[in-house]
Amino acid sequence: MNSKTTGHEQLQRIADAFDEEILNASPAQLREELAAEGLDEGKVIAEMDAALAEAKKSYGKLRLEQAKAAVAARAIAPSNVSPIDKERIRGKLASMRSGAGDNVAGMIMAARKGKGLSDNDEEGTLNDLAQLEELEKEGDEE
Amino acid sequence: MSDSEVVSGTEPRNAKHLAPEEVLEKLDSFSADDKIRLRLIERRRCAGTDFQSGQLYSEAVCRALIGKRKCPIDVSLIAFIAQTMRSIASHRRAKLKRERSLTKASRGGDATEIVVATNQHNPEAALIEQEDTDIVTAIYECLDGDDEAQLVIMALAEGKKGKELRDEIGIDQATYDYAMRRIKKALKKKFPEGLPS
Repeated sequence: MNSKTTGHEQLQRIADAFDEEILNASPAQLREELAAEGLDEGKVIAEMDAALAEAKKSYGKLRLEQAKAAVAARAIAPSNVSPIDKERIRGKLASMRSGAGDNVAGMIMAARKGKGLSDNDEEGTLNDLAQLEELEKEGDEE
Repeated sequence: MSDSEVVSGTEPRNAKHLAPEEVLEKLDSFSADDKIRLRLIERRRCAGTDFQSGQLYSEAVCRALIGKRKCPIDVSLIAFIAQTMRSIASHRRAKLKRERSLTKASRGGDATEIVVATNQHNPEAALIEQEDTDIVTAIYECLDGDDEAQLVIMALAEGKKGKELRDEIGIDQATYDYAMRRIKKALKKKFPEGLPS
């Protein structure tokens, strides 16, 4: 016997051999094993089906939770507009506000029934303007 | 299953492993014999753990589905689930042993030349090793007087199987099958709940 083999390794190998016996057993040998364990075939199959259903349920629940988390993460994802760009565009927005009546702030205020521009409105407008600039640049390059 | 697990179904397809939908498809096509095989293996692997009937199998299936344990495409899913149950049960058993902080009385004699891990820097591993060594000793003891069966156990413990095992002991398949039946019967008597391994 290999003197370096631990008791743990030996036990694992013996147990693995028994598993292998079961994996390779014929249908008749399986029924014989079931009878030796005092188990009823119909009950065993019903229990295994129930266990599988439980596993599928857990898996489905986990996928749903992950999908919800992904949606939530997208909703709070930070803008990809750099702070420097934002400051420049913020200036542009301010000059638009001070301009004629068809400016952006005016349009949003109209949509808000005369109420002021909220922080979210302003942030969204800044992002929109930044994206517009990007599109304009791309157009110039073509 | 832990809530923090990540479902691999959202990741790019890995052609070396079964995708979750493929695992599901195979699980649904398990025959009655497949279910019996897995139930018998689960029953034995539950020994020494706190898993109730069906729980270990369900946990193994969950891990295969979420991709925490990935089934290679060239491995039978039944064998993979059996291996996963073995791994989960082994970890649970070790965890329970740690929690219980068992102290075992030293056993007398060592006929199997087993090297006992005595690493005092890892007393938990030493405890598990001692318990497993005791179980191996008990296996030999319950086959006392049946030299053929003890030789089979010794060869299995060395990792031998099939023709190599039969040739080493000098027995044919029928003699091996009969020896295994005697071994299983003796172990069932000694470990009614299954071999805690």
